[in-house]
Amino acid sequence: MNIGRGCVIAGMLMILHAGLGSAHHRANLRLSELPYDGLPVDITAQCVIGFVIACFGISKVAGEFKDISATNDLNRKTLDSITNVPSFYHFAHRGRSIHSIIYS
Amino acid sequence: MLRDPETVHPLDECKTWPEIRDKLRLWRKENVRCSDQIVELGEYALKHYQTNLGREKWAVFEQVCVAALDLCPAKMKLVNTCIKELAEQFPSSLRVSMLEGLKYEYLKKWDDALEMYEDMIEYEPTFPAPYKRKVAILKAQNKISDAVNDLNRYLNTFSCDHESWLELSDIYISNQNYKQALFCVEELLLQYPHNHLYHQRYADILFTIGGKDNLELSCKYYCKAAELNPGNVRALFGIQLASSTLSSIGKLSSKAKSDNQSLAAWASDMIEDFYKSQKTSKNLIIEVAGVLDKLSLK
Amino acid sequence: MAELLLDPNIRLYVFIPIVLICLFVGLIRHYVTILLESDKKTELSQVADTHLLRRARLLRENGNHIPRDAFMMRRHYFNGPNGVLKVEKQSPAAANPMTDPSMMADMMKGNLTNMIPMVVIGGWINWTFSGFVTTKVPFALTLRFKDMLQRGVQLTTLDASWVSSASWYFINVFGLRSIYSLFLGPDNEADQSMMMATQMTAPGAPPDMKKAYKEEWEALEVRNHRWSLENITDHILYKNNSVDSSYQIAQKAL
Repeated sequence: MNIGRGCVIAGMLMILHAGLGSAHHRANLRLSELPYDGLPVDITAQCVIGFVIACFGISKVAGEFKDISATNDLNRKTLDSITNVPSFYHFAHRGRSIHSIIYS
Repeated sequence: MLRDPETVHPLDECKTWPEIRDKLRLWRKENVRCSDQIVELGEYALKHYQTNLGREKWAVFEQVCVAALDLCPAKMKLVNTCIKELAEQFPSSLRVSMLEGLKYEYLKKWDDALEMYEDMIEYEPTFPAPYKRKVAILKAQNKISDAVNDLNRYLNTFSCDHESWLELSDIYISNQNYKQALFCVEELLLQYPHNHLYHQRYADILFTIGGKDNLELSCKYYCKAAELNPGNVRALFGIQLASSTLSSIGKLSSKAKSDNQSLAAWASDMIEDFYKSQKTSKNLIIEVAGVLDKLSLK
Repeated sequence: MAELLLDPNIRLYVFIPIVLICLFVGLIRHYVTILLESDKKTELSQVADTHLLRRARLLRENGNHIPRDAFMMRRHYFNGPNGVLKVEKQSPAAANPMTDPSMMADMMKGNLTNMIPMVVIGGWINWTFSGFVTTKVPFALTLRFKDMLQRGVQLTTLDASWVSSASWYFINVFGLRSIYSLFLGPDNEADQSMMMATQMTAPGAPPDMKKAYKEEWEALEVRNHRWSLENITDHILYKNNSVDSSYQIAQKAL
């Protein structure tokens, strides 16, 4: 979780920084009246790397991925637990007498 | 205090906080009723990891409370503590009142519990839990027909309640009303068509009722369960039994007979493969093979 | 069209402030709506209706998994002569919004939190940030949009892509919806498009129920039942190469 959050923040900061850098670059070009010929390589690289790091971080933060197949999850369940209905649990069972012996 | 030496103690398995938290979550999600383990792990978590739990604390309180009621009278103090904490945090909450009602039910104070549930129904008619608890009270008192009537009346309004259909099918099965149980399991199939266990249960009931048509139908549903989950050995056994029985009935066409025989043979092979892949002892495998040879109904 | 060079101060003092204003107003609207929300009591009959419709929909979607007789029986229960979807329901009298006080209050609250801030702030932004173009939309627009999008700027030769601050505000109102769902989770009150959609339909449940019942009835009527287990034994016997069971069983053992 911490690595994930750190990566997301780092990635977003890198993207923001790349954005600021590109604005700065264009302003410089206007001041020196040079034609705009595309961004320099390092700004583009920073943007892409920041994006990749942010994606990695988000996939860590987002939690466990579920299986694609809908049945994989269900196949691991057993009949013991799947027929338990918590709303209808009642306590008139043998446990009353057994547990009073076990825990006495 | 007597303790079964073979019982799994969850605290031996789960040492770190994430393991404990995940185990409790798993038990909550899958409705596992291992009350002694839940109480052991939950008490430990509530004592040592209260800050880590954060807002999950209240769900764990509820979970431990219900599990402790199963182990009462020894754990009555724990139950009272849980209810007290929850009531302080969520005053005038319906869910907390449900826990108090559960406590009355455990103490067999049926009238007090019923009165409480009636009040809740009057206050909030759309909250489904009190209706279900009334049915549970009737079940605990062994008034099965009343419980069934009540549950049917409830299902007239809340007709899409998955849990209630499951419970109703259980009651019908235990009462041997198999036709009605089939209807309930069909409702479950409509809601969760990819659940192999519901297909298997449907096939089980059909097989129990018996008769040529029902056997054919149950064979197909066992096939579907095995297709959804190739590891469902009960379904494979069901296919084997149903198809070998069908192939020995005289009224089938020859194609159907041969189909059933091949199906039975395929199922036997699958079962043997399964047991071999599970690394069971050689004796068990030989036994299983022997049983499969003899397995057919006359 | 000539490339216009905008004053960088526009970026700093107009562009970004409008975004921030929109964002914070949306957040405030979300929390105010939550505070002003009254407890909506659902009726038991409404719950019954919802469950019934859901059950009919499930029958339609997953009906292929139950035997034909079971499907027909259920369809008859829903669509038959005395079927539950066919019964003409009495619409209760409280459908008129003018007479029902709680509905009036709800509508007023809805207007207060959604329509009024949008109009007021849109107007204020138009008045404050007027007289210059704010930004250029990345796609080309026809001249008809010039009147709408370049409110304060009276240049006839300016490309329609250059828009004023009011249009930037409107772009933000719709564009920030996904940011709201990032911060506030889905289903939040700052989402105005849902508000507009619900205000198109008549307020009140009974007309919707009748329509919903009718739709469900028609959908179920045309539904044919094709049992999915028709050929399953053949499928398992003769095509079990595709369902490589021993491989899957071995996998389970891992």
